[in-house]
Order: sequence, then C-alpha cells, then structure tokens
Amino acid sequence: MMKIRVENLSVKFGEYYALKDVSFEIKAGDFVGIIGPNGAGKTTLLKVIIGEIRDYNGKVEVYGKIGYQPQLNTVNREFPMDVLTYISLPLYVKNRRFSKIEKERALKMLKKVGLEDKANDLVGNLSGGELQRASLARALLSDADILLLDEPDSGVDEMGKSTFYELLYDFKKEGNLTIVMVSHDIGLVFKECSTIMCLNKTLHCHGPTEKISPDKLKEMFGQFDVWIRGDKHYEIEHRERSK
Amino acid sequence: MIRDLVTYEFLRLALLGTIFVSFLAAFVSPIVVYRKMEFIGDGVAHATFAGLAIASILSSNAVFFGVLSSVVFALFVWYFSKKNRFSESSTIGVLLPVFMAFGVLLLSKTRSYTVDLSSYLFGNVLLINKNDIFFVVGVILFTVIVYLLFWRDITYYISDEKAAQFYGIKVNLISLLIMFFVSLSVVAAVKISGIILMGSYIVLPGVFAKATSRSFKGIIVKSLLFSMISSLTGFTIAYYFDLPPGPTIALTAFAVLIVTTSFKRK
Repeated sequence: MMKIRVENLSVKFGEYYALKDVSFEIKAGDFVGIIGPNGAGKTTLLKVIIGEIRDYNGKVEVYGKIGYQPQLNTVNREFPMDVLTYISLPLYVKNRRFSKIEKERALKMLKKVGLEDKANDLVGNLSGGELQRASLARALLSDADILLLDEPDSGVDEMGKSTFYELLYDFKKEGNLTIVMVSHDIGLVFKECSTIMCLNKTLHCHGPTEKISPDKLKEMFGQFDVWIRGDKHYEIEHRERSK
Repeated sequence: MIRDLVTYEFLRLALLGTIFVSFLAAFVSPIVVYRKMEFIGDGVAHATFAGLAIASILSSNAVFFGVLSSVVFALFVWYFSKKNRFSESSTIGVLLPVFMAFGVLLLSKTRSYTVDLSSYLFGNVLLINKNDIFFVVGVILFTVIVYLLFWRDITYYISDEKAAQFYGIKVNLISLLIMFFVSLSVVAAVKISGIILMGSYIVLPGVFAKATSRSFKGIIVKSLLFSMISSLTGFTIAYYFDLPPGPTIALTAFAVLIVTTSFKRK
C-alpha cells in the first residue's frame, strides 16, 4: 500500500534549485532514511511533504496521517513548559482543551517512551535523548501512521540514540508505522533503516539498504560533510565544524 | 504626596497612567523577552515617533497617529519576515532610522521642536490626559482578551513554533496579534518612558520574571509584581526628589532587577 508518492518534484528558491525533478514512492511499513550533504534539500523535501512549502512544481501525494518531529533545535528550551504539556500539543489542537482522558493518554504515552517520571519536569531540563523521546511521544499522540523525523539524533549521545531506535522499532511494529527520517549520520541510517534515499538536489539513489554500499555513496557525494560511522566519527565531525 | 494627588488632576492622571502602563507591560514583556523581540519593541518605539511628530504638526490626536505609525511599522516587519525577503532584525534596522528621521524632520519645522523632542524621547508623565488613560485601558482589555482566548496557543507558539504550526496552531495569527499588542503597548507607554527608555517597560519585567520563575503563569505574576513595584517606587522617588519620572522609573527598574536577581532562587 502506497503512503507517499512524489512525482517530478522541483523546488526553487529564487534562481537556486533546492530540489530538482525528484520522484519516488514510499510504501506502508517502510523505514526510509534520507541522507545527503548540507544543502542537499533533505529538510526542504520534508517541508513539502508536510505542506509547509506549497510553492513547488510536480506532484506530492500523501495517503495517511503525518506525525512530524522537527529538528530538536526548534524547541525554545528556555521557555518554562512541562513535559506533559509539551507532548500534548496534538491533543490540545483537536479540542482546544485537555480532558482527563487525554491527560491520561498523554501520561500513558510518556510511560511508553520511558519518561513517566518527567511529566512535570521542564522541557529545558531534559537531556537531548529525553527531549528526542518526548518529541517522538508528541508525534505519536497525533494518531499518525506516517512519521517524518528531521535529524532526530542531532545532539543526542550514543546511549540516547540506541534507546530511541529501540523505541521506534517497537512503535513501528505495534502501529504499522511508515517512517521517513532525515539524518546526517550515514552509519546510523545504514544500521537502522530498511530503505535509503540519497539526495543531493536530485535523487541519486533509492533502494533497499543492503543494495547500497557506503563506499559507493562516498564516491557519489565526493566531499561529504558527514563521516561514515567508525571510531569517534562524531567527535571528528564537531572538531572539523568548529575550525 | 497624597494631598497633591487630591489637589492636582494631572498628578492623579500621571499616577493612574503609570499604574495602568505597568500592568500592561507585565503581560507584554515576557513574550517580548522569550521571543527575543527586544529589538522590535525598540523599533516600534522609534516608529511611534513619526506618528507623534505628524500629530504635533497637525495639532491632532497623538495616540491615533502614534498607533498608526507603529502598526504600519509592525506590519512591515511582520510581512517581510514572514515572506523571508529580509530577516526580521534587518527589516527593523532599515526601517527604524527611516521612521525616526521622518519624525525629526517634521518636528524640526515646529516652534516647540526642543520641548517636543525631549518629551517624546525621554517621556513626560505629566502630559498624560484622560484620553491616554482610556487608550491604555483599551489596550489592556485587548491584551487580556488575547491572553485568555489564546493562552495555550501562545505558549505552544513560544515553545516550538515549527511544531505548533504543523499541528494546527495558527502561528501567523498569534504572531500578528503579538505584534499588535506590542505596538499598542509601546504607544501607551511612550508618554511615561519616552522612546529611548521604552526598554524599562517592555524588556525589564520579562527579564526579571524569566530569571525567577518556572511556569508561564508564574512569569506573568512576577512580571506584574516587578513592573508595579519598580514603576510606583520610581514615580514616588521622582515626586519627592523633583526628578523626571521616565528616567527615574527606568533606573529604579534596573536597580530592582540587579538586586533581586542577585539573590534569585528559582
């Protein structure tokens, strides 16, 4: 069953193409990892799918309800909001209030993501991994069957990532979710995703993980700004960027 | 002071204006601080100057023209930042001197140039009249109604605008409403604080509340306390020591901020 169909999608910002002639299909139950260098159009693609960008050429069809997790750096961590209120956003939008049933549902969801003892904590006091799980809980409370995750693992330690992906698999199995994830971490995408899309304005490859080799990718992208998973690749990346 | 308050209407109006503006600022300031809109507040204050100058030349209603110029400014900023033509701060940086220069040029053609300029720049609480009081009360009502109707929407908008927009919060409406009540509040406060000292009303209470609270409700309450105490203390000091109220209130607010946040306990 088809969940997302994109045909000849092009997005232009002024004279500059963010995406050019991109076509693909995503089936129900797929776990798709979108990889590509900075400025490849990964986030733009997600923005088109969620309807934030409407000025494009081509055709985009979505069959299902989307839950969206923006990059974690969009959260204003200085603002004093408790975790329970934070994850309840989709429930509030439905009726513009929180009923007792909805509050219980949100608490159950917090328990599922292992944050039941953090319900009254401030979002700003959560670790990167905890905030990632809280954002996942928020997306799942929207009753979505398609999850779009924009770099969910940036700023999260290895332990946090591991917990997050275990959770993601559990929810995927439980709710037959289709997951589309943008990531900078090629190694992680190869490890976790069933399908890979390599994007750099145009779609360079799209297929099952086992048919795409990391070496081929490196060759294809040339000066890639992410590092193939290996020893301390994150530290290397951060050091390179802070120069 | 009490005897003078009974005797002189202008003093009663000045005190009433100070209280109402402090009340209003307490609601507006936290949003300005959390949304990092301090520069917008400053820009709107400067934009008001153009309207005040037009009113002065036409001997017309200062509030009307002040509101008009600040709202036009706010709409420009809102439009250009939403359309991603220029960044919000660039738009403000470009328009701020334009509105200010326009006002100075107009005022330079009036006889009372120096007096008017000084009153507008640094405030003159003794110029407050009944119309100003009605205007402030109107803006308070508007702001409180917006808060009551959109309390949760505002909190989600401040907390995570991207997610709020995706899940269906009308972020464009919220940002426009916020821009409106910031503009109107600036116009309401301009006779007390003046354009240059506007920060004492629309920034300091929010900064204090942010440093000392752990819930949005707590922030509003503390912002209210800070705004009221510093304004009334500043007003009283100005009265007894025969000082200009605007700068005295600004310095009092700063002193209260420094003292209280030095001993803060969240």
